[in-house]
Amino acid sequence: MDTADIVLRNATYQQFVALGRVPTAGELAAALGQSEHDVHAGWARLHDGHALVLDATGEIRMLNPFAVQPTPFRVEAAGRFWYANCGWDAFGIGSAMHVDSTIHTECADCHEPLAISVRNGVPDETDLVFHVLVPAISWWQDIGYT
Amino acid sequence: MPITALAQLSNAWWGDRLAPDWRPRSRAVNQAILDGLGLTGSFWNFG
Repeated sequence: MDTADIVLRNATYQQFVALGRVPTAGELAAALGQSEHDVHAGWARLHDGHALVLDATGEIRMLNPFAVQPTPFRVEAAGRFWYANCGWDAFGIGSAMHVDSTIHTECADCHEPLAISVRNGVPDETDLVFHVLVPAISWWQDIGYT
Repeated sequence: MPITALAQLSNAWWGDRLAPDWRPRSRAVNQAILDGLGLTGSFWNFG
């Protein structure tokens, strides 16, 4: 991953958090002094390097731990709501932002609504479990499924 | 895993994600994060 792509990746994440939405290629191009084509090409290389996830049209689908579309994992952090891709990512939003958070989701087994507060990186619920279904060697074979 | 362990994993895994000077971690570093939390064995091995 070259320096320019790392700069693009970091700017994409920073603008996502600042805007509360995915920045457009045009916005990033203007911020970085690049063309929109260069931004899209950089995003494609970052996708191949597992630094972000694009959809089939080349637009951003995941900025892990953030999901860019609604999911069953809604996280309240830093004064707004975010979506996470999974339970691990839901904890990850507070971890990444270094803030307390509340995770709103439901039990995958019984569908009971859950609201988990995380303070100083520690959840208030201690009797819940999280299942990792896919072995680590296979996580990126289909990151959406994982 | 209990979510208390998930929270520890999350802090270690995602803590640097928004750092302005973020750089990609190597597979070895990622593996060490899992190992350090007791997530060892073939299921947790990146290969």
